[in-house]
Amino acid sequence: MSSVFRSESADLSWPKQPVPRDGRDQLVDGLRQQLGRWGATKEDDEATIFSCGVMALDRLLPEGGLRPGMMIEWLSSLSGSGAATLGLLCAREACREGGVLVVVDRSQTFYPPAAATWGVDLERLIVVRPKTVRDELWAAVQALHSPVVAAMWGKFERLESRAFRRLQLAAEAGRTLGVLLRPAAARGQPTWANVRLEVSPWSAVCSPLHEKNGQRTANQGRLAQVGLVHCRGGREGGSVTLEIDDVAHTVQSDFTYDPHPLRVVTDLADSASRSRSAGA
Amino acid sequence: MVLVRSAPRGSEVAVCCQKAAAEGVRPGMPLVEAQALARGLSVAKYDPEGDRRALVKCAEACERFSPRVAIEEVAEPESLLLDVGNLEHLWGSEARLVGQVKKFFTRRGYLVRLGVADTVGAAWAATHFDEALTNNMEGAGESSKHSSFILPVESLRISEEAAGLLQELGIETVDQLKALPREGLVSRFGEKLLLRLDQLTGAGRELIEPRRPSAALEASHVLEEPTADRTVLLYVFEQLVEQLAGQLTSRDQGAVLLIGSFCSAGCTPQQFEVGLLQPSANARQLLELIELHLERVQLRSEVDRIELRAAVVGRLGERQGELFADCWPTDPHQLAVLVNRLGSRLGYESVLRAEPRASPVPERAVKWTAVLGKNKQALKQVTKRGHSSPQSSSVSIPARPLVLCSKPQAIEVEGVAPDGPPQFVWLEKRREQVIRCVGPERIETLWWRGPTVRRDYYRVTTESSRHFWIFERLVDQRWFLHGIFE
Repeated sequence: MSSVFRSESADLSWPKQPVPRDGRDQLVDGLRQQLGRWGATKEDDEATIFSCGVMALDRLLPEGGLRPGMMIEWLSSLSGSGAATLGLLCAREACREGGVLVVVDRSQTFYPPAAATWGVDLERLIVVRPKTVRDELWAAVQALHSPVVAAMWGKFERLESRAFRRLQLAAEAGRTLGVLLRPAAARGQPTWANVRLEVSPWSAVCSPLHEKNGQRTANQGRLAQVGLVHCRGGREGGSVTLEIDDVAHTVQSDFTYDPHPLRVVTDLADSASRSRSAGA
Repeated sequence: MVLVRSAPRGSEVAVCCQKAAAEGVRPGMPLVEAQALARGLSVAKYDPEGDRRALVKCAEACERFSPRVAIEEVAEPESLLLDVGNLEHLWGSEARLVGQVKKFFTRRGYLVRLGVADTVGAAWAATHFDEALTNNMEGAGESSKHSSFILPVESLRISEEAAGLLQELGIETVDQLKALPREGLVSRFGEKLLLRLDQLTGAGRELIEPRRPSAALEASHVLEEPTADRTVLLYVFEQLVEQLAGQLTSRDQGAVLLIGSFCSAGCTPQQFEVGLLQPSANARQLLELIELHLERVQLRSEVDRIELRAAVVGRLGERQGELFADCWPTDPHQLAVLVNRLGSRLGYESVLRAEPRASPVPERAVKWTAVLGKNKQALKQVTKRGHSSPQSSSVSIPARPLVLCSKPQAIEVEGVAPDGPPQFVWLEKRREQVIRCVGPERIETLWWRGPTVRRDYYRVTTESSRHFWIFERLVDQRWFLHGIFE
């Protein structure tokens, strides 16, 4: 007498009956998840998923959050889009359970007091300032490979596929979260990141209004639209609009906006027209 | 008994015994006055040079108790410092060691006060200010180590002026001093006071530099033919590191700073330095760091001799402070490995920590310090200020950009309202309309904090939905870009 067991994941036979459209989507999603699981290492399975610090973003991510050893790539076309701040929040969350945050800062413009206002512990922050692109990549690999580093955050203008692969392998080996900030031009390039997100600033003309003490007040936050461009083992697409408040140091998605914006700055005539009117 | 020295107005008391002090005799008092206060006073000439010579002899004699004996570094030293760490197994117990030292000095007619503590500062404070120690010399070792006596500010080994100033302000004890904000102490009393405070508590490091230096820890190799072949050089270094690691291990020491030299005939030696976060005698680790340095070294000529020296050493297992202690889930040694590697290849000045400073001026609100220093005193201090949660370390400052220009960049603006923001800004050769603006946030400094700064900062959003931090310099109404909210 013998028994045959077939594991669920090994069942790759085509379904006998035609699959309805909704069911097909479910099937494709299931297959994607299976692929993602096969692509992941054993450690990945055991890893704890943690929030990226923004609930709306968690919902966008394939696993509902981040996990150690993951690479998350943030694309943005313009400086000031909010990608750096959102990436920093991910790094901060990775360090919650311990470990060091390494910032690779070739441009020497990273400003720690601003990071501190977002909750980054400066006592567990190491800022590395390589002078060349080669050293920048080397430092990032070293940081990602180190088991004491919980997250590495850095801007990488150019990243060849092989170099990217090195970063990814290092992140997996060190179980370090890699946060890469890249230009939007990198969208067409292959990626080794688990997740690739694109951030574009939302029109600031749509100024959100908040209820405060029963009064509607103009908010000071930045608006950013985050789209999921690529993810390993998940469905890409989908986006979320976030408001980054640099004063309250919060990121939220459930805000309302007024199509007729409240102008904070009083409309001013430019100096030339003013002088003309004065002369008249 | 008093020791006297010559003064412009006759002899004066330099030092007095406790009995004379009880009768009102004080250092600096004219001898005549002292003799009037204490009848039958024995007088001897004060001889600081003679005292120093005697102290040196005592230090040499104490080398039987510890391999690291030093004399305190002051103009007129009166204390010996003995590193008794890891010596318990030789003496049975710490108390027994203390007893032996005391017996040794008593036999030679010296009255000594002994203190054992985790830091040099605490041991010094115990010997000078612990009343229990004065009254009960026999229990010196244990009582001082675990004592909870109130330390006066003088126990910090600071100048009389600084101690006097603190007392005028009502700060008489170390505990009172510890309760004050550190930033304020630095601006009023300088870094020395905090250094001494940290050295007392253990937050700051203080090495006992042995009076008699040990034989140099070095190894060298002469090449048969001059060469610039890095493979050959690396092979030679491998041999030298093996030798050096053997020497270090035999002394239970590790290298903290290695200096390598490439010597060529007719040329000055070309040197490079390798710093470590914690002492190491691990040949593989040392060689790896040297290899990283070799990648950066540009040889000026072919090398015919290679030297390797451990310029600074420390006891094995000893760490420079407690870098990120209790913060990691894995072996803390790994962090030292990472920092050593980064520093070796990128340079010590490229691996930094950021310390917040209480300054309203953005560029002065952070102090960059190398995680791994390379000065002769081993490494720059990496102090532990407790394990704080990320939120607790958040600095209560207003919105600041993640990207701050190293120097504010002058920009052109148009349509500036009186005492208000501009309507247009020129950024990266583009004229952009300001569609939202928050400010001004006035930042100004007072004259005693260096060059005066008077700025009005604005957070502006341009038509391309970019967010900048600009300011108007109020002195000359010029505008600058200072940061980007990324």
